Amino acid sequence: MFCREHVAQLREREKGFQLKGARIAAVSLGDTEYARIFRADTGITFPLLIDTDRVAYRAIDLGVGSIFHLIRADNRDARSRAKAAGHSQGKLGKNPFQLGGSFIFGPGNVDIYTHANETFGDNPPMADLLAALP
Amino acid sequence: MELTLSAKLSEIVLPDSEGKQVCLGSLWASTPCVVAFLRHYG
Repeated sequence: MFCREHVAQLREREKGFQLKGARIAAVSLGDTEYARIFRADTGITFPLLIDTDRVAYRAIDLGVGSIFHLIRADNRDARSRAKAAGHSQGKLGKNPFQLGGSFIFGPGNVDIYTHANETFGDNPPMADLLAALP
Repeated sequence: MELTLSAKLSEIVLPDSEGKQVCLGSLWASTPCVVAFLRHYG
């Protein structure tokens, strides 16, 4: 549900990012068929790339959680927040403990903003992402 | 000098949901790009 919540927030703020000259893309672990379903379900129009072998995730050392993350207070709070916003748990992939992250990269391979998630629901506020752009 | 995260990703090529091959570096070659790494489709 955290992915759907995060993607919905990105979609809602896409215009704001565009006004600051930025585009959006997402990377996920699922297969092509489910990527199409996910795009249709979430209504996103930005690119959704598929990394079933976690090549990109490993290249930047994104973390891997554990079953113990499920009982962390911050994770419980994030789950409650996502549920209250109307998001439900969708299909789990073959690497359900892989953690995500949000980044803004710029021309010349400049890292403008980096946020590697520390647990499942640890997505950054949209305001932080927007504020990172001049 | 250590590579930036974007430099580490820039040469990686992944398919999009339509099967088109996309070089990650092309996403931010000319403008900034917000890149969200999702865990799965949940």
